Amino acid sequence: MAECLTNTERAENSLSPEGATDVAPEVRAELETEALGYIDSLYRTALRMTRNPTDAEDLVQEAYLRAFRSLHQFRPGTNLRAWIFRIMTNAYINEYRKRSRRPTNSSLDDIEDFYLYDHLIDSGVQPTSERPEDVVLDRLTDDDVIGALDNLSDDFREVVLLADVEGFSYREIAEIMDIPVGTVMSRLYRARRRLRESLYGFAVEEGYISGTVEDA
Amino acid sequence: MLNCKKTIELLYPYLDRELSAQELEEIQEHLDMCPPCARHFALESGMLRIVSKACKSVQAPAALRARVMSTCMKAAEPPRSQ
Repeated sequence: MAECLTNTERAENSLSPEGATDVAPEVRAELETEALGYIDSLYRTALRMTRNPTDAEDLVQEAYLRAFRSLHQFRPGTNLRAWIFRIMTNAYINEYRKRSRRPTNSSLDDIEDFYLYDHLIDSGVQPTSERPEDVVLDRLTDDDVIGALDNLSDDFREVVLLADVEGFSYREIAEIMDIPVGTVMSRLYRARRRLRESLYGFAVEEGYISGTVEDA
Repeated sequence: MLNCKKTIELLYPYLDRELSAQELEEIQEHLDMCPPCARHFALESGMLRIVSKACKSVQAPAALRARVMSTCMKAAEPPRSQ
């Protein structure tokens, strides 16, 4: 039981003041109820991080376990949702990724910097539509998008999930991932660029757009 | 008045709602007058929208919800008085 506590302490302390006092039972109950309201957010993030429903459930369970055990360290009035996401991020790094044999995708950044919209514009897609980009984007399936996300490295995938799915601010993401705000911004930029490239590839594969500019 | 280069640099902070009211206004002014940039922003915004939609279709399984409620709340009983 106690072995989890050591791993959690670093996660929670930076979001809680030193010497935080215990919480009253009614406050604890309120916090627990609020925390449980985030289970869908945590699960869908965990699922995309682990890419495996069983591992995702275990990760969410572990995150709640750690959070509830150290709830007395949480400062009421601060951001409980970000606090739990930070705990889950640390659990993922410390527990799941360590024991996982699955190789993590690398963050190779020496790829050509081209843009989906350039290709869309150059390939003359859907000239009858006022907003051809929407036509192409709407044709991409959820599976296409999930496939593109899964191709990202862990760090890139998490920053996209936190920003684009969960709607966290740059500052909140910086706290959750324990990185500077500038790093959040640069990772988002690079991660989204890779997403565009992957989605462009799917769009070409599925015939939504032409793969060559010369076809225009 | 912002030029295209500066506007594109602020694409993500704009879409991520990380800009001041004045910056937002300046970008909106530029987008109103510049169809290529407006299209660029629309496509990028659309990409972020489909990423969000694809991921948000997932909900936590009911069994997990129950497991978290029972197991974790019991585990949260503080052994602090020891």
